[in-house]
Amino acid sequence: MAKLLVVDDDKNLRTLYEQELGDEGYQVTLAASGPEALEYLKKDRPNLIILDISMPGMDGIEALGKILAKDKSMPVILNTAYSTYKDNFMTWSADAYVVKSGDLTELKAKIKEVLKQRGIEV
Amino acid sequence: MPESESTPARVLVVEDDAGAAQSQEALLQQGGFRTASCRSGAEALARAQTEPFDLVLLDIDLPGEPGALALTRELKKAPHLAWMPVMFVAGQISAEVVAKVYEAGGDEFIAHPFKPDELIVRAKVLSRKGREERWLVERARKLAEKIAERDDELDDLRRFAQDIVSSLPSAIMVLDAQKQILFVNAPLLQWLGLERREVINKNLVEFTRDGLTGDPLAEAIAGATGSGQPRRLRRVTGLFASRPDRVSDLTVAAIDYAGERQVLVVIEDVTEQARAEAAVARERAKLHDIVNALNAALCLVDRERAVIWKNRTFDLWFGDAFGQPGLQAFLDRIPKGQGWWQSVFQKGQVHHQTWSVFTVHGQRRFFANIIAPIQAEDGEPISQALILTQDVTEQETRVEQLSLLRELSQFLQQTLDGERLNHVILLCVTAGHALGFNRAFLFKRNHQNSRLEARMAVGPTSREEAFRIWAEISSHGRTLHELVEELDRYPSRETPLFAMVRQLSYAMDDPSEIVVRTALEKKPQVLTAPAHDERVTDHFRRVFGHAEFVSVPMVAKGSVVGVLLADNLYSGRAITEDHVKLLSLFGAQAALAIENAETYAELRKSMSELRSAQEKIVHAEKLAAVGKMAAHVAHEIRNPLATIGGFARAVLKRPENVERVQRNVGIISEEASRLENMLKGVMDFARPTSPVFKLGDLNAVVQKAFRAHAEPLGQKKIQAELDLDSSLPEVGFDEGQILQVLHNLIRNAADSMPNGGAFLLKTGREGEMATIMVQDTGCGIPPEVRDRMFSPFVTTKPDGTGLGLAVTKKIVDDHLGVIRCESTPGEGTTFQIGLPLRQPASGTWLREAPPAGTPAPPLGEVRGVPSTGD
Repeated sequence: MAKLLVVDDDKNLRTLYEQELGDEGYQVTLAASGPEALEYLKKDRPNLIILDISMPGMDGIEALGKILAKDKSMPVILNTAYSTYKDNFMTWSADAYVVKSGDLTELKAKIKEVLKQRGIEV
Repeated sequence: MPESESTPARVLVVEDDAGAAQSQEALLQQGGFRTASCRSGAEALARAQTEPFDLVLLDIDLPGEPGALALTRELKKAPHLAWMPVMFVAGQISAEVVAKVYEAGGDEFIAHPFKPDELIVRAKVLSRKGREERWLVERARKLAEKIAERDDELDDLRRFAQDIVSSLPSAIMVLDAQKQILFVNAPLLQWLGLERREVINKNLVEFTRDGLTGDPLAEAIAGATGSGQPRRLRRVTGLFASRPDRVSDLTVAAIDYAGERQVLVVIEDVTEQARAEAAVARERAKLHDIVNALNAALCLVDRERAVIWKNRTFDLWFGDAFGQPGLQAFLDRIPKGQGWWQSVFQKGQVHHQTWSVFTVHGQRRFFANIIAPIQAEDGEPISQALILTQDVTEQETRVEQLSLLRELSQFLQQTLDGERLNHVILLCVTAGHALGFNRAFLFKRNHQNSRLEARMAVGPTSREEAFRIWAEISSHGRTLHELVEELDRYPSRETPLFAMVRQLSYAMDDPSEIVVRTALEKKPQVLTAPAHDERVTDHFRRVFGHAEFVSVPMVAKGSVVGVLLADNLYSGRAITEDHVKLLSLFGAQAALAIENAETYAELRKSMSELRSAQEKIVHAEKLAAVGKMAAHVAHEIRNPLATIGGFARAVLKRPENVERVQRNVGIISEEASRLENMLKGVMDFARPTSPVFKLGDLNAVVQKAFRAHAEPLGQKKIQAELDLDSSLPEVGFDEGQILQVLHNLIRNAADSMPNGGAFLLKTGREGEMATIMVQDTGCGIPPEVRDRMFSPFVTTKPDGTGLGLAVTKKIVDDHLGVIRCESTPGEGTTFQIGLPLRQPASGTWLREAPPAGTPAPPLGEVRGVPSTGD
């Protein structure tokens, strides 16, 4: 069972991801901010990180840099309300870029795809 | 008049024979007489004494004593009976009898026996004669009585007149037409020291002083005699040669005495009186001299402002002589209708006033009046007032010179428009009486071509115009303020005088020109006689004339800005050292003002360049901001939308799991309200309603907000305190908007203290601002956020919209208020809002909003005017 870390400052959105991705059979861990996520990564290594960009304090791009600096191979899907960040070259270092939507089909597909690319069993 | 004929005459019949008497009576009665009879002479005498009879018919042979003749004699002896006619009845009338009867006084005879007709006729004739005689006798008697009475009166009058004449203090004499002295009284003799005999029948000329009788007295005598009217001579000194020191008043009257024209002279000794009068006159003259010598105008006016008396200074100042203010100008200052004028007369109050007037020479003179009531007699109403007027021009001029400089510098500070400034400078030089030059010219230094160029000129171009203007000014008495105001209404520098000099331009390296030399030496130059002064060029003389003039440099910060030139071409008033000093001081002020104006002009130019550049930037930024805002809104909406959509799908997918559906739907509705709130915030920010200012109690609103939050704060274990400044005056604000500001700030404070703390809401006053302080002991605002915390969509809260402080800032700005924040992370945050206490007077503050991005000014600094609708 793959372990996912969801980083988002929106509490209800975190709840949604926990519930929906849990239904998909993933083990979901939640973090409300970049620092909280980095703190978690010190103790455990998820198979995939779903990272929000727009967050107060440390934003997703900064968090991504710090995560990759520690573990270059960490798979990360950027999940944001903006499509504009696609132009930021930093986002290129992420495995995928998914615009937030009430329809989680694309996100779920990307998770599967990335895990598959990395050879991780679902 | 005799008794009327109709009255029957009464006849007394005297007859011892009763029968004869009876028949005579009967006869007479038949003839219309009334009769009485007696038998004896004694009886007849007694009756005649007591009863009036018109006729006595007497029997010549009457027996007894007295007999007929004796009776007649008795009757004729009594004066009141003498007139009564007596007719004798005789038997025989002989010559002897006739002689006896007539001798006795009898009047008539009738022979006995007689014919009845004869008796009647003769009795009638005789009785009428008797009556007439009686009337005449009565009349004569009465007249005699009256004459006797008059004689008595006359005697009394004469005695009275003598008493008067002798007791009169006045000396009296009576002269004949040749001035021969006919009468003198005791006082005159006393005065002359002579006896009566030494005077009477002498000629007046012997006693009077030489020559005196020739003219005034002689004339008076001639005048009085000629016209019959008395003549008076007053204050004749030394009338009599023996008493040359005496002064007398004379009355000369013509009198007629016993058909002769005489002259009555009454002489009164008024020597003491005359001496007293002379003393008074001397005192008066002395006073008059003092009053006239006074350097103050004095006049006496009545209630109707008619000048009753005035001194020489008054005439000098207010006489209608050419060049003076004139009497009317003086009277204009004491209008009858004024309340104080009434109180001078009614309450006897002294009134002080100062006033000024322009002479026809265009000079202003200042006067101080003291108006004092003059009471004629005790209890009499005040009918006159004494006005003492002093010329205080000198003092006023000194005062005005000082205040003028201050006023001028104010004027000049306010004037930044170059053209207007030049004009105001020259108005100051010409209009105020402190300087009051006839003409003034301003040359300004042109740094580009190093020349001094004529830029403005003020003053009349001809003597006629000068006098016309002065007359106008003196009637209007316009102040410098008014002149400048007028200048703003008709701002034209194209005066005829300027046309005369506008072409003038002097090279700064040509010291032969006086204007240039003034600038080079930086010293004032006074040329008393330019006509013969080598420092002046011929060209200059042709343009400016030959009048004395002064040329003053205008130096600001060590460099010459220009030169002022002024003269008194028309009035010819000398230019004093004072004027030069004042003009120099003024020149320095003017130079500073010109420099200010030039700096301001440059500043304004770069300001406008800056502004247009800024407008471009602002426009670009606006576009960028719109994009940014759209992105923010998209992001902020997308999160809740994604959440709602996700949970909705989850519910659709697993409708059977009731517990989960309930939780999911709960979150959906929560997110929906979050969206609504956010939308509301966006709307508030993007389209905030204009504030509606109302004067109100700020404390009440603050208290309202505090109460609304007291409970939630208490639940969070926050100790909340409210501190209201009760002395705060009413403030103009929009209650709804200020409440929203307070809600935002209080909610932020509450959110910053999740574990409790202290909260303080306080009102106060700082300068012209009412202040509201919102203080918490919460987590504080991170420094990196503080710079942009008032920008929209900036938040530190997970579920914040980032609009609270942005809206707060906008509302405070709309109120022309200020907001500032002090925050230390971990210790707390203090927001302070200042709202202006006063609605500023329109036009005194800038209307433009500060450019975007300008930092909020410190408290106490107001920048703007509350807009009232736009």
